[in-house]
Amino acid sequence: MSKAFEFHDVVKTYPGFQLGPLNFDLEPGTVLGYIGPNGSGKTTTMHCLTGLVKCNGGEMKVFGRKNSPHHPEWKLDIGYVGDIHVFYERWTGERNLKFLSQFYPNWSHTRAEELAKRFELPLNKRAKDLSGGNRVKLSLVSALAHSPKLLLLDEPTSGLDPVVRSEVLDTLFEVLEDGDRAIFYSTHILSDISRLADELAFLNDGQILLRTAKDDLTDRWRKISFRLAKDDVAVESVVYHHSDGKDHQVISSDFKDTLNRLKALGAENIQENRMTIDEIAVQIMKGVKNGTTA
Amino acid sequence: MGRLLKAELYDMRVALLIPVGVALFTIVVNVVLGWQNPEQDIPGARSVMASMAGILYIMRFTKAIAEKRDRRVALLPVSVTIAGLSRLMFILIYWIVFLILYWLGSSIARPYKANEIIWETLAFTGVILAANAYPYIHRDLPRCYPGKSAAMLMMILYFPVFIIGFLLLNTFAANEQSWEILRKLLPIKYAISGTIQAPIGAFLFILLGTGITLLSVVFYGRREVYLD
Repeated sequence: MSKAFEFHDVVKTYPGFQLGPLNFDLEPGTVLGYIGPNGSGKTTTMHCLTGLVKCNGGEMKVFGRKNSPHHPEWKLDIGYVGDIHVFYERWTGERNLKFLSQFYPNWSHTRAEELAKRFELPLNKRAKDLSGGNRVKLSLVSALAHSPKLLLLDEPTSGLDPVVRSEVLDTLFEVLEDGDRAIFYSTHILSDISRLADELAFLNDGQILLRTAKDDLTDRWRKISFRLAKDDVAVESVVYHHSDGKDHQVISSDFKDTLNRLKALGAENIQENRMTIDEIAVQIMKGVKNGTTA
Repeated sequence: MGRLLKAELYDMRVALLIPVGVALFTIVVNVVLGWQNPEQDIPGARSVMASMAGILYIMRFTKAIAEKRDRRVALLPVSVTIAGLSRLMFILIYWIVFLILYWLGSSIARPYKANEIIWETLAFTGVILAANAYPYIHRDLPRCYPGKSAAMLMMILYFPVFIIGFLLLNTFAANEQSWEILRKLLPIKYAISGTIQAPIGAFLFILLGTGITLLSVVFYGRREVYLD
């Protein structure tokens, strides 16, 4: 079966910034969290994939079909919600959905109505009169009503206040947990996606630093404290080290390896603690700033 | 394309009322009055139609920019060629409908310059085609080519605009008296009118208008970004 999407040597350059070369793909039915700070290239990746921006080089495929602007059938398999929500502003939500339904053979009016109900979205209001939260909800209903096999979510809740954001995300995740579709979710807030993601890709300055299964990440990373007379703890898997006399604290990206090495060095009172996914993400990004990667 | 066009017409349905009403009123009044002064009334009605097309165009163009219509359409499963063409169709549909009404309406004034009016109106249609496409080209070019290349291309493409503008002043003036001062300033008077009122003029203008229309579709497809 074809991949949900494939990137082959994809490059996009802007003055002072280059995204890629990106080489990665997504298996059908997998949820990939695309994590990176602002300006790291998450939105550009999404724009390249949806065809909103043309790349300078490389090739992208969606379910085996090239994302050509002249043969747009590949877009039938995609549902996209970006950070900007565009509608016919003077039309009601219902009219906007009816317009979109003409383009998607798989569109289900029943599903659209059900989703709108679940999101508590007033479909009889004009798009221009909808609140920020409701505009996001209308975008989500638009993206989901044709049951796309690949859902692209690019910080869909950015710009919303924390209460509305949390409410929209809760409902969205309830909806997404029901389906069997590939999801590519970009965000700089890891907690947004950590509940849903199977895999995580960390992006910084246009490059993917690390791609890993979420569980693998939480299984391997640990905070370790120990006592050791030496100041220097030269272990490759250690990404952070703090010492106060003989007391040391390290963060390891492969705790089994680190433990073995520490024992070999003669460390005592070794204690390891699991890390949350947010803590790990922070360390990965910090590691880049300090010139070390996971 | 029909789905996109239908959506545009529906979206602009209120804005359509006044320009369409004015153009329709002009033709109906002239028909009822029997085109009393065909030399002025026939080109005059056409100028009113064109002015209303201009008003409609500005309303639609500004609205499409404000609502990021290109971004909306680019996300739909529609090819860039269809998308590029469909945005031009709104004014063309208006113009074709009114052209038919105009020809039917002005037929009662015939045989007054019957052939000349046909060729001249076809040539005018070429101008409408070009005028319809130019603002889109102006918008798309910087999104196709970086910096100076776009500016150079734009200069080359604008050259025909000056020619067309010149021809418009000389040929399509609704009221000859009102253009008297301009005509005196221009070195060539009426020189091209004869060509415009002949099949060759109509053919050339239609060809030019169609060429510029197709060029705008090509540039739309070559855009690097569809974010606005």
